[in-house]
Amino acid sequence: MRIFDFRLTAFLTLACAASWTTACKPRKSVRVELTDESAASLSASVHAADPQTAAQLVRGFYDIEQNSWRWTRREFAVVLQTPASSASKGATLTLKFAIPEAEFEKLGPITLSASVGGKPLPPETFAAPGTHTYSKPVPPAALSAAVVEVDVSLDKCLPPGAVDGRELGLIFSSIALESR
Amino acid sequence: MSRLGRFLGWAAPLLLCLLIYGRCLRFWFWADDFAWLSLSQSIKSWSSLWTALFQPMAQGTIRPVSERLFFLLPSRCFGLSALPFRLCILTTQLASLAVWSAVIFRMTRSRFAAILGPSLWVCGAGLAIPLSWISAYNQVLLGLTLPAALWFWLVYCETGGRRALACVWGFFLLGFGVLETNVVFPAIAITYAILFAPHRRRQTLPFFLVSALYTAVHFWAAPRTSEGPYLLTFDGGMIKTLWTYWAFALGETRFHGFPGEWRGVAGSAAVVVFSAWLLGLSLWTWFRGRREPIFFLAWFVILLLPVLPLQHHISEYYLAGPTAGLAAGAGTLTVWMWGRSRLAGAACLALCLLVCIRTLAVTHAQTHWYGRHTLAARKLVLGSVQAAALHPGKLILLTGLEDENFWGVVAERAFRLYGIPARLAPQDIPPTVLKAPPGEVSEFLLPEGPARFALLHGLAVVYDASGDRLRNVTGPTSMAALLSWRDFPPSRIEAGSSLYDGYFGPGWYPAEGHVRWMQQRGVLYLSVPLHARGRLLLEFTGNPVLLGPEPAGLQIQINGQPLGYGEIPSPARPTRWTFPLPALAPQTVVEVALQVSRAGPAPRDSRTLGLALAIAEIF
Repeated sequence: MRIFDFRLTAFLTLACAASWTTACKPRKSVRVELTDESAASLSASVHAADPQTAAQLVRGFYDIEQNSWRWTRREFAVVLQTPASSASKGATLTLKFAIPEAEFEKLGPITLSASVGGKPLPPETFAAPGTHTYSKPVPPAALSAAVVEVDVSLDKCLPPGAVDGRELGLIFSSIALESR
Repeated sequence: MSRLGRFLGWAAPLLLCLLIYGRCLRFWFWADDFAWLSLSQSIKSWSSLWTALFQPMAQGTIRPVSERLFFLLPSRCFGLSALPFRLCILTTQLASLAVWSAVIFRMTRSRFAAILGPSLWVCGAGLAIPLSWISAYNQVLLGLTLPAALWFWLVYCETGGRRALACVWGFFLLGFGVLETNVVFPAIAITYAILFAPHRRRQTLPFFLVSALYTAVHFWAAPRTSEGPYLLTFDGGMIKTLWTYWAFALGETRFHGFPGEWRGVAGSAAVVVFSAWLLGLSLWTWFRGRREPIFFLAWFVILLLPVLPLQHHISEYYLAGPTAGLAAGAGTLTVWMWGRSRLAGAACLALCLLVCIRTLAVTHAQTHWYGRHTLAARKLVLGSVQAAALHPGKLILLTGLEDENFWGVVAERAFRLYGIPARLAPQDIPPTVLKAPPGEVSEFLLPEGPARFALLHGLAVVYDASGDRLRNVTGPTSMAALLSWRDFPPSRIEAGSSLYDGYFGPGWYPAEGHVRWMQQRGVLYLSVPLHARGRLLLEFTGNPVLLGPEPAGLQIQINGQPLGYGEIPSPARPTRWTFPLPALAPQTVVEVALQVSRAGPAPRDSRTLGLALAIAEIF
């Protein structure tokens, strides 16, 4: 009696070859990106109207108004990515904002103080209504981390009133850390 | 029947197998697979090859063919690609089906039984996990070697040919390298001999002797465990375990919530009706002189005998081989009933199909589970490989993992295979990981303090694994780290990492390699985790200078109070100690002071060195 069945062996070989061939069929060489790097880092600059960076406005901001600006409280904070090489060369902090005339009439000159990564920057007083820029150099020591918290405070603000129940500081436009 | 018809008959079970399990070719590695793959990296010499092939591993098992060689050869030839493994598994299963068809045909002389039996096996509940999970290949391969040995045994019983007997021995001995269950082959051989060839009963004696010898050697080389899921318990509970496997074979399962699931009464009724039909009809045919169905049922029971004492480790993949017998029995009975009465045959066939509908739903759920999780593992591991290539030298922190991803990939040290420094970020930790005892999982997590340091200093990147591919979320996570993560001492310190610099007090040198050298006395700070078991773990290596006429000792203080003193048995070798701790409030910081009895310069190092600390942990 035959031990090996030729037909069985032939079929088995055929089936194995078919499965290997199917599985090993060359595919189009499409490189599949296994990671998505589109949101890898925070931004070093934040605009009031940019929804992509809104999460970096961590404290003291009200909702966006007219798709372009936001009111702040008396104290507010932003987290910014530190620019490349700023840990050795330092950077410049630039805050753009506005003081409405109605507010200026009630409060007079407003002094703005800021700190980056806990290191205080020189304060500056703004003695006129309108748009302003607070721009100060930031020492390298304050920028040793990859991200830093920028804390801003005003010496005075509009308290909650009958017309607007919010505490109002200034109208925030943008903030940025720029390499020097 | 025409040649084409016969060919298609032989092909039917194989095509059915490809149809149901062809998609497994796309699956990837999972859980134990990663440990077996790392075996290849452990081979540095002939002696390490011997160790890799024959040293008891994984619950004391020694399976050189189905696990050691199976993982070593493809990983050496093709690298860490799953496809060669998958092809090997599917090819083996196709071969098993062909051999099993041949066995049934030889025993029953019925071509339809030889088609129906393997087809029912493929549609049954036993093959889903072995064909979906690479580490369960031992079950698939034994599903080939045992039927092959049986087939040659049938030939030998009929013809007495020496070549056939040699082949029986060949497959029988090969089976010992595949799975321990192979020891039952003598029982199968004698059962066949008793039922069909009484004059061959004595020829089974050498098989029994070899099985007994193998069992003795196995228990000598790999002693039985005295606790845990692999504890062998020989008592009446084995009957209950057998019933559980019987019910699994008929479609009961621990998987729940899948489409086509038969719950409650419907499921139980199906098991009872099919059991009554199969057992009743087998006995009825036996009394009418047809013994094949009883033999096939005996095959089911005999193959399960070795796993019945594992009452705390009931697993569906043990059914891969046994269900071949069940399916063959059902197929044979159906064909015979068809021969007696078309109506009775049709009723039997309907019953088989009904069970298949149920088991196929279970099979689909199980393969779907493995497909989903192995492909998630692929995304996680290969995504991390790409992340490591994009950010060389940086630690990869992972977030958004499911529980299964953690236990099946991270805790199985899959990243070590690729040399990737990946850990879980201290946010969105899977629930079961949070509940796990601290000592079991802490090596896979980076605590808030070191993670905060790593992110703020650009030493790590964070990837979210919850989507279709890994998403770099370093920026948002860095913000969370800056604003809300506490710079608090962790419960585990890896002394060789600079991320932990802030938790060392006086008496330490900077981190170097995987350790940090201490002077004669050093202080470090650890926190007490929630659910701690009250143990302090220290892993260290002593300075060879500690070798001397008197034994060197290590004094440990906790918060200024002596905790213990131990003699360092072999200063130049890694030492792992655990000390019981006094009652400490959770989430508090503990000052740990270590002091060796003597310190001094080491060869080629003029510093005063006491010991090199690797790990300190409260768990």
